[in-house]
Amino acid sequence: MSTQDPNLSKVLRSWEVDVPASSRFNAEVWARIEAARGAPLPVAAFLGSLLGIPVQYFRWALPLTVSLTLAIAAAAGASVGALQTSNSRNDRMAAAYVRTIDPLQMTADRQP
Amino acid sequence: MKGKFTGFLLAIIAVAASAYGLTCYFGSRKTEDQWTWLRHEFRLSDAQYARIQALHEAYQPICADHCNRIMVMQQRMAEFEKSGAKTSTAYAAAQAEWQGIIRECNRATMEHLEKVAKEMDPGEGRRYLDLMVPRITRRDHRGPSEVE
Repeated sequence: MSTQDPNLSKVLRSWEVDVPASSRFNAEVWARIEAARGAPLPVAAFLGSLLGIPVQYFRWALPLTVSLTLAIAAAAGASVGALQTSNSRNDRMAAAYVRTIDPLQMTADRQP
Repeated sequence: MKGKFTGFLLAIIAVAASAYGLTCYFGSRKTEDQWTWLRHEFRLSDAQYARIQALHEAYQPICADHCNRIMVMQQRMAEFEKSGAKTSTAYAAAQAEWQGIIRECNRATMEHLEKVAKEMDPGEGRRYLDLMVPRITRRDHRGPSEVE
């Protein structure tokens, strides 16, 4: 078979694709996008069935998880900070208080 | 996906570290004296606080007497050390006297702490003793030259 078939070339040159323009082309594209948006992810569907949670709630699952995790991180950081500050203040204050009742420490403080 | 997860982990660390730092910063800015701290820390009522302050006032002359005796003793011990008479019987007697003063001071301080603890609610009193006693008793076996 020749690669330069003159008849085939002629047919190809004369070939025209006549696609009828759809008046609802944009609307159909957006409808498909909306449908894809609303469709549950396979993972969400699986987890939803596993946990007994309706699939539509999984749209909020990721931002909710992120927010909760960040809130827990902030609370944990603040708790550790508060505990450490409180311990260090207790140490400092207890030492200051004991210095007012312990003669040995009082005399040590008065030494030049 | 991996980049987003790393970013999320970094955000968690940043948020936790910021919360920690801010809490420490604002916590350390709080200024109070030991009496205000004692009142809040051990949840003292007005009556308890007044009785504890009265105990403290009553203890002050005893404490001052102990301070004077300690300072006199420290001076005597320093003179012994200067004169190099650390092997004399007088030095041994002075050291025994010093140990006696230390014991007496510790006993008086402990008694005072126990009296104060008794004025508090039972749980708070135990917590008060747990916090204060180690700060007193750990000085039991120090010699005069060790007191800084």
